[in-house]
Amino acid sequence: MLPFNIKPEKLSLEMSDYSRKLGKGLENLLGAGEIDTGVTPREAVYREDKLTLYRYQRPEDLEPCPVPLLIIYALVNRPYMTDIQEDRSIVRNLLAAGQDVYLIDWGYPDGADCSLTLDDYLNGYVDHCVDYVRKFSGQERINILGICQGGVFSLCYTSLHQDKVRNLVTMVTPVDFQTPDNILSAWVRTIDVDLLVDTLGNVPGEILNWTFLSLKPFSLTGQKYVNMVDILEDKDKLKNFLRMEKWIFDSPDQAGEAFRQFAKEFFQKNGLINDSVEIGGQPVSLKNISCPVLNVFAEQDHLVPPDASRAMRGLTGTRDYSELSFPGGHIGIYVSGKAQKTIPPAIADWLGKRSN
Amino acid sequence: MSNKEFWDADWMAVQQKYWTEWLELSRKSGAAGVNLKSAWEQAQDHWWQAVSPAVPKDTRVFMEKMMDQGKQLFRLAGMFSGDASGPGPRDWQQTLRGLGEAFTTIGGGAGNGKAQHLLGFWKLPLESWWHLVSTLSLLPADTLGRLPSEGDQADLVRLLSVPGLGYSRERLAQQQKLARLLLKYQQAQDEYTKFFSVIGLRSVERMKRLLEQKQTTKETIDSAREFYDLWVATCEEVYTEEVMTPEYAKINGELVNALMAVRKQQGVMVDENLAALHMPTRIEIRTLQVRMQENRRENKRLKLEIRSLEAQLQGLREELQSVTGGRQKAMPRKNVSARKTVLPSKLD
Repeated sequence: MLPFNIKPEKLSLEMSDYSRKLGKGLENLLGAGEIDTGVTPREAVYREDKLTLYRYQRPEDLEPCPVPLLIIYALVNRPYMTDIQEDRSIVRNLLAAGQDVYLIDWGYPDGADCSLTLDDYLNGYVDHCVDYVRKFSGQERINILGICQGGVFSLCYTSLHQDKVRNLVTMVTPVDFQTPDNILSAWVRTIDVDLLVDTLGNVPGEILNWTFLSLKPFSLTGQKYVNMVDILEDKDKLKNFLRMEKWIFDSPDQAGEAFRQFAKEFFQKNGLINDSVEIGGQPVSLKNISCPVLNVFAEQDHLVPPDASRAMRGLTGTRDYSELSFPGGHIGIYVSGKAQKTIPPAIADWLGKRSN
Repeated sequence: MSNKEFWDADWMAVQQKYWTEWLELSRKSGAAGVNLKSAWEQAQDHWWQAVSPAVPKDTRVFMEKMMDQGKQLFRLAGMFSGDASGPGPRDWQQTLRGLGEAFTTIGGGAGNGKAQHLLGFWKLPLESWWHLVSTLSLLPADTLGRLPSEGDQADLVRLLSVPGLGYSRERLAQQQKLARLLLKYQQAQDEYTKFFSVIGLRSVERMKRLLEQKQTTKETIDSAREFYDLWVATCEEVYTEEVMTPEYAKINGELVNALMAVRKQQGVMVDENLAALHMPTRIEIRTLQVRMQENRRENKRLKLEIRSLEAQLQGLREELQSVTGGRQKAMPRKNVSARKTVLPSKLD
């Protein structure tokens, strides 16, 4: 028996169906309007250079957690992923669970920012935001949620400023950058980072886009658009798709010096594992972290393999370490329906027990 | 005529009719052995030619991506469906052999004509790279790829080693260096392309095994979409295995590094021209950026230190006042804010 049963009549039917969907979809695409992202009302409470610190509006009928939560997002891509639409918002669900949520938006660095270092980011921007939240809330120590590269930042920051952090949550955060299944790391290790940064100054978002798309080129640059045809007739699904598409390609350039340090210290020297990172002349050691730590990771993460995150166990100085594993991918952990139901409430519950 | 009118005026009904008629026609011609895939592509292209002028640029990009992938989907299925574009389902092994040969041809540097047509889908990773190169360059990506062939390269290398003389020595040396770096980049790009042809060949072999398994278990692929999804999954699986290897990491790294070396040398040469015109060079601007950031860092540190000292001073004043009480008139004080701790407000 032949493995193919694609009859010409069936094929022509599929073709006309594809075309029909495209035609109908064109109408929906043209009517899609502005692609909005970032849906929860918020207020800019602090600004410095291109950074903006936002505080999200809490539901009035809820007794808030007394200790505020500061979200530190990655420099790569934009933080509105945490609040991308009403039914896919980690921020909204954290608020609903009683958290007082602040978020750092790094903005879009330009050529004038190319000399910003990790010291400027961590001992400068992050520390100033933390101090603002501490002052405004009257809390000596606050809670931090670091996401992806922002998780690495939050680990380094807590190591350097443990006295200002009450609880630390890391989400899809690499600690061991050289696990065998980490494709991204294997690629970065062969790049002459000095040559790259010396040549380009800031590292263009286009390079990051190319790198991320190269992880799954056939799905992400081909099949995705065939799948898109299937949802063209559903206006809501189409809009969700367009929001994700906007986020994927909304890649800020990376401040050159910070990129140089990050790529060399973490990807190439595996500094958190080898205890070799120095920021602003101070050694960063995970052993300095003594506050409770919750490590959240995704089991099918192709960017930050779970083992890269799990490596944190036993490396920090805390006696209160927990893990939360999510059955999904790097993006699914922010936006899937299942993640929305489980991750924010679990984080809020964990923080709630440690914030009174 | 406004856009709105254009789309509202029964346009959707008209195009619905267009595809219904096409389906009917294709049924009849399918029976007569006409190449369905080509007919569909032509119909699709005619439709798009009529529609696209009224479509905004951003939407057009999406539509064209969907249409391109649609073509890939049906080209692939056409080869195995028994329409006139391929040997037909009975000869699926022959079709796969043809695909494998096409990958080999591309690996040997002869990636044109039929091979390219068959492998459109496999060009996606390479297209991503060319797109990146274009965004980083004033010139289109293929400008970097059109250097002399391998035999002529040796002559070029000999030519490039001729030393310059006199006043033009430095300029010639810079140009020779750029040409050498361009050659190196081309070699890196050739290695990159070859690696993809190897991955392609392995994907075809993996696909063949999968289809043989299906034949054994009497499973069938019933739609173009099912076949396309299986092909994507297979290619992605093989790709992931291959790009995990140190060999690929080296090829990928050499490609990026070679491109950066070219860009750096171009920057040096542009700077020389700018300097000749008494204009600020890139390297001067970079020096200023570094110095400016050092100054800002220092300013911010000093501001915080001043605030800390102010807070300490205020604390001492209050302490002194509580000790001396009413016995001593308070010292004249400057307009200092009553901060107890050093916290940021707005730092510029």
